[in-house]
Amino acid sequence: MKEATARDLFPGALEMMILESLRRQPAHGYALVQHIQQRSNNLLQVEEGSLYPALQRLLKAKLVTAEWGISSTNRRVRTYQITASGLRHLEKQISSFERMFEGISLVLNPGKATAS
Amino acid sequence: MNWITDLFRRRKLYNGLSEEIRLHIEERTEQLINEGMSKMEAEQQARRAFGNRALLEERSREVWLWPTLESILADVRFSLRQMRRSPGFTIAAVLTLALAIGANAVVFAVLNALILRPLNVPHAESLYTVEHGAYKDWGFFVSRLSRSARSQPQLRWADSVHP
Repeated sequence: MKEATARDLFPGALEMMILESLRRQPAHGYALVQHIQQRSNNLLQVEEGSLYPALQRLLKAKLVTAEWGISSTNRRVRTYQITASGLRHLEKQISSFERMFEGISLVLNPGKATAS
Repeated sequence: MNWITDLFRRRKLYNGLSEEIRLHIEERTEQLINEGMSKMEAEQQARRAFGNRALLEERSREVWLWPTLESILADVRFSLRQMRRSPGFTIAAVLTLALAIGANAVVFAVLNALILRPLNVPHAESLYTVEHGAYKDWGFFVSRLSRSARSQPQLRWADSVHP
């Protein structure tokens, strides 16, 4: 069995985290990476570039919108903003993720349900 | 039919992507320099942290490109599968279309040769037809001029054949 030093996030995990970050505040790609890494206490090491295909997928699905502008540090940035349908999608994803997490926890610790 | 609008949106989004990635790597580089790295080290580290830039750019573009092509191909494959599964229906549909198209083609060819093409004489536009008033609507089929006191011959331009 291959030694997995870094575990891959399940499909949709990155999009979910991006949407949650954008729900708190619109941001550009670099700020998103910073935000995700900091909030996860550096437990999640996201390859910075992998954000961009995810952002394009979100753009295509109209879950976010993007606009060029100037950041607070006077740089040219493309800021992403979550849309109403993005918020709805995020709610659904979070609840299905929590159900999945609960299921796995129950299998790993039988008889012990996690309170969320 | 969303793929049509996607095509136009896509070009706008593509153009920004390379620049966006470049700015990202620059911002990371600056951050590392502020943390005390040398410029060259910072650039290398920033690029490494970003990942395979060309590959990621390509994958970002594919988000727009492939699904439209794939969905069209999937539609074609699906319809071919359905056609193979009900051969009776396929034959009926194909025959109907063939008959309809063939009939239309024949009628148009005849009309084209007889009506729509100019006469094969010099100065065809200066030809006249003379039509008897009473037989005005039959002029196409009847080539007879009758002289009658009540007849009102009508002159018309002839630039095509009227038998």
